[in-house]
Amino acid sequence: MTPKQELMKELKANEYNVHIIEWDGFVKEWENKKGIVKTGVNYVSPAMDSITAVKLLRDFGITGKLVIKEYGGKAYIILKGYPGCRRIFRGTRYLETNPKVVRMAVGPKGILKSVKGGFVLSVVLCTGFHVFDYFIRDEATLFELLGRVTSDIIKIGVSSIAAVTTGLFVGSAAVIGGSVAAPLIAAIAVGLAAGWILEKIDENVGATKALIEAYKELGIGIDETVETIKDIPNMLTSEVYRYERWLINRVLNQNIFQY
Amino acid sequence: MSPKTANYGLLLFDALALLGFYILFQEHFLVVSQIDSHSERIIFDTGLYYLLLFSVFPLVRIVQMVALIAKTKEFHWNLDLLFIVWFILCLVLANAIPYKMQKDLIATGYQYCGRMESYRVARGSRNIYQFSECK
Repeated sequence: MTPKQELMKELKANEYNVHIIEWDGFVKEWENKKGIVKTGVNYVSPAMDSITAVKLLRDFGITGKLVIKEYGGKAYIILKGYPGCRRIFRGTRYLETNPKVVRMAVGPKGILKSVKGGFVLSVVLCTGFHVFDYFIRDEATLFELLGRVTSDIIKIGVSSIAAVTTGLFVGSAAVIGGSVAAPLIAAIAVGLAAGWILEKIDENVGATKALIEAYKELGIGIDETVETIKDIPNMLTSEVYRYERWLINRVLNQNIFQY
Repeated sequence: MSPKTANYGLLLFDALALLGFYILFQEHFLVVSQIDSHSERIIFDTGLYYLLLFSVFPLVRIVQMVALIAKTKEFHWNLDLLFIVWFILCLVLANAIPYKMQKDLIATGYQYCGRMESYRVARGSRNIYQFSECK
C-alpha cells in the first residue's frame, strides 16, 4: 500500500458525516411526517399481538384446540392434538399460570397479560409522541399536552378493557372457545375497531377539548394558589406590624391616663 | 366464565357490531354519493373500514349455532378455518377499500389536499379531497 493510499484509508476511517438541518425545516418535516409516525405508533401493539397469533397458529395449526379444566383447585390448560408436531407447546397439559402459556396469550390469564402489555406499550409510545410534539412545536401548550395525553390514556384503557372482555367472552363461548387462537384474534379485532369508535365519540363530545380547558382552569387555580402562598410572609409581616402598633398604642395610652 | 355468561356477553358485542355496520355503511355511501354528485370537498376517513372487524362477532354466533346443530368434527374444523380466514379477509378489506376509494377519488378528478388532524388512538386518517384546486 502506497503512503497516499494509507493516508486515504486513515482519512476514511476518521470520516464523519454531519447533516445540519435548519430548525424551521425540521419542524416543517415533522408536521408533514407526524401523521405517518402516529399511524406507525398505533399499529405497534396490534402488530405484536398479531405476531403472537401467527406463532400460535403455526404451532397448533388453524384448528388448534384447548380445554380449561380444574384439578386440585388449580386451572389447567389441556391442549388437544399431537404434542410431537408442535414446537412451542411440547406438553399436553399446562398450568394456567405457566409462563409459556401466559407469554403466548393462551387462556384467560394469557389474554389479560397480552392486552396489559399492549396497553403499557401504547401508553408509552403515545406519551412519547405527544411529548416530542410538545417540544418541537412552539405554539404547543402544557395544557394541550396534558389534555391529549390524559384523553389518549383513557381511550387506550377503554379499548384494552373491551379487548380483554372480548377475549374472555370468546374464550369461554361454547364452540369457538375451544380454539386456541380465536380469543386472541377477537381481542385484536375489537382493539382495532374500538379505537375508531372512541375517537369519533371524543370528536362529537369534545372530551379532549374539555380536558384541555379543565387543565387550563386548574392551571389558573394553581397560579393563584402559588401567588397566595408567596404572599403569606408579607401578610404575616404586615399583621405582626399592625399588632405591634396596636400594642404600642395601647401601652402609650395606658401610660398617658396614668399620669 | 360459564358459556352462558359468555353468550350474553357476545350478544352485547353483536349489538355493537350492528351499530358499527350501520355507521360503516352510512359513512361509506355518503362518500360514494358525494363522489357521484361531484361535491366540492370530500373528507375521506381511511380508518372507517376497521369497523368491518366487528363482523367476527356475528360470525362467532353463526359458528356457534351451526356447530351446535351439526355435531361432526369436520364441521368444527371448517368453522375454525372460516373464523380465521374471515378475520384476515376483513383486515385486508379494511386496508384495500380505502386504497381503492382514494384511487377512485383521484380518477374522478379530485385532488388530495392534505389531512385533517390525525387520529391519536385509531388507525387511519381523515384525508381532504377538493374537486377544484386546494384552498
